[in-house]
Amino acid sequence: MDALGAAFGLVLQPDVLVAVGLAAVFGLFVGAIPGLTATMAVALLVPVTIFMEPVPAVAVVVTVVATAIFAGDIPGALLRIPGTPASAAYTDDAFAMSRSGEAELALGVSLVYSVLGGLVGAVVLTAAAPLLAEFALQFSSFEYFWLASLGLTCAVFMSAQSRVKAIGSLLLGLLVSTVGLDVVSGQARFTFGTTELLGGVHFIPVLIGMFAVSEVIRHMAASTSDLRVPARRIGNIFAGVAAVGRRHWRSVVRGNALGVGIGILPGAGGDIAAWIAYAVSKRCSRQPERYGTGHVEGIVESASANNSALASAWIPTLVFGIPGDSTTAIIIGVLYMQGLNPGPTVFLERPELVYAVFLTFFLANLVMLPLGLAAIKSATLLLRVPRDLLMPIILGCCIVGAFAINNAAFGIVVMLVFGLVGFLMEENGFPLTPAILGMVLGRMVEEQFMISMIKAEGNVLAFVDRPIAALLAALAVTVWAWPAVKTLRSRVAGLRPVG
Amino acid sequence: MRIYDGLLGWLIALGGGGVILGASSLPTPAGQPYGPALFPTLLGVGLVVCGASLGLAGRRHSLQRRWVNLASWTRSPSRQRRVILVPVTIAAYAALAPTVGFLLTMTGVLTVLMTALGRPRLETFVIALVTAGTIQVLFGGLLRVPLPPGVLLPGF
Repeated sequence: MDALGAAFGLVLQPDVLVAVGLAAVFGLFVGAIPGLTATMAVALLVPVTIFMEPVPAVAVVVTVVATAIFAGDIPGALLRIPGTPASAAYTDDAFAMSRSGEAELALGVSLVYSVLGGLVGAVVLTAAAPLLAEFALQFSSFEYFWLASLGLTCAVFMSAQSRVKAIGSLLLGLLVSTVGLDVVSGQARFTFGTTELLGGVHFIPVLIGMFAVSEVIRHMAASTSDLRVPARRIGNIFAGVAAVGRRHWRSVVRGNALGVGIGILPGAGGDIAAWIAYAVSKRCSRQPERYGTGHVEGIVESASANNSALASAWIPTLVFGIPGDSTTAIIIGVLYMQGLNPGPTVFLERPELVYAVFLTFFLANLVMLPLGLAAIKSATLLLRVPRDLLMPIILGCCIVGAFAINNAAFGIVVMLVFGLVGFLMEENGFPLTPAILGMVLGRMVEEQFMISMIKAEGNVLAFVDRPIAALLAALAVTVWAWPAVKTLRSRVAGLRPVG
Repeated sequence: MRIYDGLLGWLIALGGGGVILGASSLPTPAGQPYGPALFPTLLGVGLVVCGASLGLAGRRHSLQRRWVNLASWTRSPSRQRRVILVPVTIAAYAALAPTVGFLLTMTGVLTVLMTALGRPRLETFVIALVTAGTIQVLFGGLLRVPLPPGVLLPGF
């Protein structure tokens, strides 16, 4: 209780409240501009958070992600261009509703159920994370190794693109994490004689390069110019929202449950949660034929799912230090920089900070309601911001952000290299998220692997000696073996004589 | 720019081989059975296997028969120029900012990029100058990031 009181004291500070308000405006702006993602918004903000205290820094990141994910629905509904990938699942329905004069209802449902989803996710996070942390205190290096491996496995298998390419992307990220001084022996590796690489490749310039610079390059390569946005007056967006909730209450419950469940899985964030929720909603609906034609049911379920997934993705992040998606991978870096090393011990050592983090989720989602309404009302203005001016300004912020990490031009060079690598990877169908997860988790995986190997004196059976380690190993192996089993089964089925 | 999977896979496998070779030169500390080479070697092996399977699958399944399929932007000189300008301006900033200073270099970078995107030159210069000035105040002034002062703001 003392910790909770202290947490309220930490969050209800003027600087935190101002930071949350500004972050919400920034998140809504970035999310509403097609082509700018929530991950990009966070990547641009991280260099600023290193100058903040831990609570406002985390509050800023939480608020930006939540608001950007919601704001992606605005251009989706008005222009049929999803602002962020998390809105893509139900863009057709939202746009069809707008064309039939129901833009207010589409946006109102999206805002209200996004807020509700975010709050449900925050409740689950607050209830589940401390319990899991207590359980995780029994973990040794073997369990951590398998847990991290399971996280990386999920990152590969949740990827929508080619699995081999996702593995390649993951291995690249892990390889980058080995640059610098070895975690166990202190030996310099792959530094090519440069002192700048002794401390390793800092993940923030990599992140800015992969998610922001590559996006700027893509904009430069595209032939599209500024969006043609017709002037539109948005009326009362809350009319009819409660009735929709009453009519589709099953979708609300299912969307939240799905979002929370999918968010916990490492590698699967709000985007995947929204797609799965939409597909499940369609399958369970009495009117599946109406999906894609302006039916509100899918919007309710997916909008609930993508925002509830955001908070639950923090459960593995805070409890085990294993990120749930690309944004929580960034957040792990922010937490380390703030001296708030994620893991079960943080719940014992600094419970007030953990509770403060939970409270920021509630705050971010509550702030989203009035500011989201303001963003919807000024949608036409927001969407008319010329991207030809915005993209160079973003590049300018990228340069300064990469420089600010170590106050050295080396960060800019790293950003440039990884910007080009990210651009080429995406052009060739390599997903970026496994690379970022590999980079963030690489040190932990190697450290736990080496400690376990030394402890076990090379006996690999020791990795599955403890029951929880054995269970996690079995899960990881099952995920890896499942595609092979499926292929084998389909081949056997094909060989079986008909009749 | 899409590279043929059959080629890309073998390039990755080759890179994996390079990692194994590089790791093999790392010394194992005395008295320890495993050293700093173990993890990178495993990653190198992973890259070789991953690259080889991509290379083989690419040859079997890919419809692409050219080594490199150029994207549509490579056929338009103006879009080509715009893409190349991104790495060029970043590199120019890294090279020039320490002597010329943040304000002038950033204004130049933004002006060049905005003009390349078809915005009027005077408008871009004014916006670039205001943006660079705002970043200077926010990062240099409020957050105390030591942005290079250069010739224009030697005492900033």
